[in-house]
Amino acid sequence: MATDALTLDNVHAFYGDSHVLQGVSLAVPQGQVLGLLGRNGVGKTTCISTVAGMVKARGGSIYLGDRRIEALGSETISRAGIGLVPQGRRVFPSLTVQENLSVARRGAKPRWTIQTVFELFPRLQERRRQLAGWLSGGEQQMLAIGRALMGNPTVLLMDEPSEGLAPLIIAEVGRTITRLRDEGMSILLVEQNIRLALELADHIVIMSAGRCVFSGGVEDVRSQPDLIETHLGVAARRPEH
Amino acid sequence: MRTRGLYTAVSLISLIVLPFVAGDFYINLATQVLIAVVFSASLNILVGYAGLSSLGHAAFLGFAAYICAGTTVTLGLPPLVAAVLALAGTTLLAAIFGAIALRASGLGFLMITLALAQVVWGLAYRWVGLTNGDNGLTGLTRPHPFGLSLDSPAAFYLATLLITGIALTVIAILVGSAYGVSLQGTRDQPRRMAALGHNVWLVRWTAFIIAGFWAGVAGLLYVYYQRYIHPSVLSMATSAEGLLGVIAGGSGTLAGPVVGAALVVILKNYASIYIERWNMLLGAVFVLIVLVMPDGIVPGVRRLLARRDR
Repeated sequence: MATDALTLDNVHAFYGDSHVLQGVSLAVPQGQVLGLLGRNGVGKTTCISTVAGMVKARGGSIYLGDRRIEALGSETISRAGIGLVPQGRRVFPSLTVQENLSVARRGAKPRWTIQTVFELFPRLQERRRQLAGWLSGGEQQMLAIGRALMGNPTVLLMDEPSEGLAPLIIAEVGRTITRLRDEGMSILLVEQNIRLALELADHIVIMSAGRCVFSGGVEDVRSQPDLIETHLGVAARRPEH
Repeated sequence: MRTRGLYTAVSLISLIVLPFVAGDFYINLATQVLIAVVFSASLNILVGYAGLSSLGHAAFLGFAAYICAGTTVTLGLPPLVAAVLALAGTTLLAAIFGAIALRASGLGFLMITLALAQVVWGLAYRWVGLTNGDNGLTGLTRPHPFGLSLDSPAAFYLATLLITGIALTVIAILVGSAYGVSLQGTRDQPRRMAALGHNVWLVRWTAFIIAGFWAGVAGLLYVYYQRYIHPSVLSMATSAEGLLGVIAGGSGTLAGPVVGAALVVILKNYASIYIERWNMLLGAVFVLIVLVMPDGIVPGVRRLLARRDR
């Protein structure tokens, strides 16, 4: 059996004394999208931050391919091949679009360069000399994705990439995620937009109170409306009249 | 863009012509301004581009000055060797101080830099056998690079202008380079930079060393200008004046420290002629700048010009 691109095995993480991740186990298969769903505050972002090394795991193990990474610093984890598209974009507002991309450049013969990112998002090329703080939310999201790609990762962590965006831009972000997946990128996608997540993901993991309560295919989720209602807080069925 | 080029050309020509039209007092004042510009520009690498406020930057200026004066006067080394030793020693000191100070950030960093600088100041005062203590080191003569005498105020001014030009150009290239961009990234979002694969500590440490090196260059200019070095140069007041120049002019801009340092030196020299407590005036001007232009003079004027053009 091929090794998964990213594996979390019984991972525990804390904020101070607060036990946020209580034994999370999940796997992102090579070249596939794993959708990580759950209500606000269940630990999805903490899970991503722990993989990226920004929150230290106090128990369990995290593997990038065959390499164990949970004890490494976030810069080493990034260099090992993890790219992060953070929640709220977090671009560098005082740097230009081009500088935001060049600051993340890595690799001798990289797949992703400033030029290939501009080909993926032509709008960024038009705005390349503009300060990132002046971009629209959608453009900032494209820049955040482009910036993560500039590190030439093998696994991309995406935290709520559709948050606060207009439907047309969400569709564009969705097409980008599909394209990246088709090119072989393994993606861990945290999303509040259930419809988008079910559209893009190959597998779904649902979290509740710091634990994984469901793991399965997209169709399994669709066929269990109660699961969505219980753990995601949205009505999966249309109300009966 | 054309107007900017024109302003730069006019400023440059004025600076070159100055020693041929002005008296010695004004030439010396301009030299002091240039030295303060190099010092503030070096501090701006830390404060403006790395987001690390230091209150101990005078340690590097004074250390370079003491090594230069000490090796030349006491050991009789040639000026070039003394200058190289001074810069190498100062860079090494910056590497050591940086490694210690960068264990903290924010207020902690500020206080550690202050404490380390006070150690150097204390040594300069108390280690009389080495530094001549409160009497300072005297007897230094200006060098004669390529056979050119720098003894006259005009010649020394032009040499200082050349070195200031080189310093500002190199710093401008540095902050515009990939390294400079990553430095600004660590200032704005250090955690994000780490997540992008940057060693934030290393980026900051390198900035600390580079800033220390250029403060050392300012120290060499200072000691050759004064031909004398006293422990007070290493004091917190010198560091604070440099910081004042950076903040008043506009930190994180290339022109900011130039304008700020010039303002501090000119105010200090002019105000002290008329007012005994010139520090009060300097403080009042600083408060006024902060009230009217919180980002500093250069960003404030830019904003005013942009509003006018709209």
